Amino acid sequence: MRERKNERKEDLRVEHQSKPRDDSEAEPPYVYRHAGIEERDGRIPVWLKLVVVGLLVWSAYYTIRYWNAS
Amino acid sequence: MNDQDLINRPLIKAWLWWALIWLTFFPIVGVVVSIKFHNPEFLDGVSWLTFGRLRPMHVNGVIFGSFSTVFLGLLYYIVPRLCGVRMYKEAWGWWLLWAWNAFLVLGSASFLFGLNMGLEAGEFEWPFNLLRFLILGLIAVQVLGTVFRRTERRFYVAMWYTTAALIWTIMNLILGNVLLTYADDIAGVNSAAMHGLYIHYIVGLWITPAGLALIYYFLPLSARSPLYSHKLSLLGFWGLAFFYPFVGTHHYLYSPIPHWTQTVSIVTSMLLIIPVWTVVVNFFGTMFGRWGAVAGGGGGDNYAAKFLMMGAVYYLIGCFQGSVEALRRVQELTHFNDFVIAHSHLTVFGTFVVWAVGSAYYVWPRVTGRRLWSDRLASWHLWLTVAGFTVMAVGLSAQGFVQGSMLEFGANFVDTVKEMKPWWVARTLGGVAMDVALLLMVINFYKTAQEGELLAQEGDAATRPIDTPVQVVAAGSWIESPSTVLLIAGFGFFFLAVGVQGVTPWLMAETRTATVQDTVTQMAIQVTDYTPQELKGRHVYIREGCWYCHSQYVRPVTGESFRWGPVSQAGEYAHDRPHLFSTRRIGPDLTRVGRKYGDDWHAAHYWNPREVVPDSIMPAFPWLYELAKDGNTPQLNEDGTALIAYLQKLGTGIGDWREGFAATQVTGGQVLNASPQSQEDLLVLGQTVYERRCVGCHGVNGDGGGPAAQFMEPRPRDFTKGVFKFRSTQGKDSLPTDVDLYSTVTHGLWGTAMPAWQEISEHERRAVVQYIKTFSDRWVTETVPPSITIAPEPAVTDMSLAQGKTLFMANCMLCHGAGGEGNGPMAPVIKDIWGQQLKPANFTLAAGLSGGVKLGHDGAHLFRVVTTGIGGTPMPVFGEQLKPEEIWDIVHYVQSLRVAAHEQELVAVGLKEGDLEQARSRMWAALSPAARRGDLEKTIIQTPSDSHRTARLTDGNANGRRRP
Repeated sequence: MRERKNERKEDLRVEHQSKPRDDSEAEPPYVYRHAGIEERDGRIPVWLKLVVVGLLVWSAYYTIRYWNAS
Repeated sequence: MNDQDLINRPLIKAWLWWALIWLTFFPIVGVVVSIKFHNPEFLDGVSWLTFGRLRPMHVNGVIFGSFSTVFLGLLYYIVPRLCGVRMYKEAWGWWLLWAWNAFLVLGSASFLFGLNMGLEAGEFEWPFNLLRFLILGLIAVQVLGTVFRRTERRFYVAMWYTTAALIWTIMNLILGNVLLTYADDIAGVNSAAMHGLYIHYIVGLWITPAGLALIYYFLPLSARSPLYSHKLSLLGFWGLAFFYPFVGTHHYLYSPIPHWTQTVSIVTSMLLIIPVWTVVVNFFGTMFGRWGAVAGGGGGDNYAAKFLMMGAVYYLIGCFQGSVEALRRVQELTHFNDFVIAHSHLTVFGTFVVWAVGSAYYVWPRVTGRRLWSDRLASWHLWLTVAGFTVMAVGLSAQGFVQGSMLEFGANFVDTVKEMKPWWVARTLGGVAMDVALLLMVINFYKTAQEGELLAQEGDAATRPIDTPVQVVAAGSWIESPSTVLLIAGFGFFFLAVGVQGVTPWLMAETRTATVQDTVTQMAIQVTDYTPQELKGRHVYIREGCWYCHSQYVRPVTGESFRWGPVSQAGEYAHDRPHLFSTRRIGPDLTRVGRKYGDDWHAAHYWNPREVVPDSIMPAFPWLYELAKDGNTPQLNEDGTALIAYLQKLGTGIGDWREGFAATQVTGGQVLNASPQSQEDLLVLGQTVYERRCVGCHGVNGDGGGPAAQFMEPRPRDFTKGVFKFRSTQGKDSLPTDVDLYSTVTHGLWGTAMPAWQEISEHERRAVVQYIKTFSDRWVTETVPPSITIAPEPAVTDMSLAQGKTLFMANCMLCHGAGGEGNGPMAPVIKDIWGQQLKPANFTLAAGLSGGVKLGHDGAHLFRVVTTGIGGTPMPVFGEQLKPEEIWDIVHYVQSLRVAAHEQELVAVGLKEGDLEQARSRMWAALSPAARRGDLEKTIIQTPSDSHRTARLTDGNANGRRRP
């Protein structure tokens, strides 16, 4: 029973892996020959870019507002 | 070349064997330290086992022993494989291993002997620093030598972090161990500013990049999945490299370090969210589709991935915590308390040690050539760590908020410490679970090496499961080349940050001056340097690690200026090298402790803190005393005396601030004389307060015979006689009002062991007053007389002073002396009703000095004392002999003695001649309401001619030229 469950899990994983999440995953990864590590070029998620922009805007405001103690 | 030919397995195995020892030993020291928080008697009284000596051993041991030994050992695994060539000068690795262990063993032992440089994370003395510097320098040569001989075209992200970590740390060690320690010009706030950078570079530019190197290397391999995004790797690395070097100043927010540098540190701390979230997204992306296999799988690889991802979660939480606690409002509440300790454990242990552990799980089977001995033990290791660490991290974070909130709402500091004790028990239990988990790992690894099933195939290539096509692309862009990492990230950003956050503040004149503003006159004065004895005391303070628990700067937030005294000024620290700002308050801040207690209180406190403060968790320091003979009271030795001298100096550089300290200036009214019923209601609370605050000196029976009383001179008040010195009521030795007792409890008695209790709540003070009254029948059999009326204060005039002097000579001189210095001809022979030798007050002394006035030079107080006398002493009730205006004349004369002495004190520390008149005016205003409202004759504050000045200074009277 447990083995069957594991097989099903494995099937799902294979199925999942076979579908790239975005274009970057469609490209073959770079392989570091001696280490055996593979690396995708990948992407930066849009939400993370928004976090970056938001933090940079906030930091500019905060720096100007609180440069002096007053 | 075969992949296995690239590495030296015996060498790596040897490093990891030692790493296993340090992985277990130094966290166990942490448990010992933790137990002392809730059971301070545990291993107490032994110098080398005190908190102050074990604490640096634990912290440095975990950073450089537990974590760094794994990292350095694994460099011999990672670097050759990522470079495609064997490690440069590989044989050095053996020597470096033994040298590293020598550094850890001898360096740790040095802490136990009290060798300590006084800089957090920079405590090692120079021989150990030199050894560490040489080892890391040689390893950097090995790594760079390998990098620049590499055959692998692309420079993997793990190598960016490795290269940068080594370069940053070598430079940081020069900053912390050379410049901070030996540059005379880097003192006070500059010492703190640069130390803030140094301390955070140890975390942010050593173990953080080193840890990231480990997870970037081992996660894709152990999870058998390609690294999710090279782009994210770039953003994460350069974000960390640029922002992290600026953040260190956030350790000292609200300190006198220039405000703008604090702002820069806050902004960059928040911007660290970018690289942290970036790398965590990269790790989670890498795990995508592999969670099931890893979670359900056994063996070294899967447990490696589990630990690595567990560490990634802690990294996300710990770093977010670190960013937001840099925000000013958050830091008001959380700084100095266990919230910071939660953060440091979440990052150093939860993240980096766990990443090191995960990496070891991956490598150990490969260097031993055997399969992991027991998945079950590994599972226990994992879940005990999760359980124990969750208790520790959540508990410490929560208790930080609890203690911070209590303090913000005005709770007594010791009360907040008491509140923490159950939480600290939980922390100990969590730590025990974590240590047991690490021991299971050691057993598992030992058994693996001895009995593990032989691996048929070794090497990482065999672990690559995904049968996807691979590409071999050109080398990465210039931004990821070794030279760029080395020059721009390694050197460039480091120097930029040190320049902005360390050197620029140092260039500002206000950070390098000993000038401060006198709190009474608002004039510029100079802070004097330490005497040789005070310096010796400072050395003892550093040696015993007092600074790990006591901070030395008062912030302008959370009521600290009412709790401890005026907010710190930059010039106060001009002679402090190194600074002793500290990052933690397990005990109260000591910035203003000078003259708060008498020397006798300190003597009793060091001998056994719990005899004086029953809830204290401070260690006892019996080695600061000469051995007691024949049951006599132990006497302080040179170290103990010097330590007190140092403490009594603290916070006194800004003038006589205690005289006008608002928090102890109580003007309670009759409302405190509550009804009999409400007095009864207060007794229960009063007894509790008495047993926690007073019993050590005044004794269980209120007879002044508490266990600490043997050190006290004068002896603590015997409440059983119902006689009190300071009263507002009429008649010789009359009973005081509740207001009188409340005022004394709130204000304390300067120069004695009786501290100001303004820090406990009004309810508690009212309650303990009622309880004190239960010790004597006088409160039952007698009626409290009414308080005297304080006559309106007349103007302060030459005439008043002259008449005051005449009256003083006639009535007070015999005891207090002609100059009011407490040295009259009768002084040596007068005693109080308790049989103790009396010391008449020296009116010229500043607030808090031994021998001076006990309750201040305030006009109303002096009027009351002269009128009602001092209970239990020969001091007469002058209200029966003198008219109110005559008493005011005496008061004005006594105040003039203090003003004259105060003027001399300020002139000695640089008060300008041209400011003297205004300074005198302000000194008078601080003491006299009449002067405050303008009734101060102008001639009194005018500068006398030279001949008059000489006469004045000779007889100690500021206004001698006008006296008859």
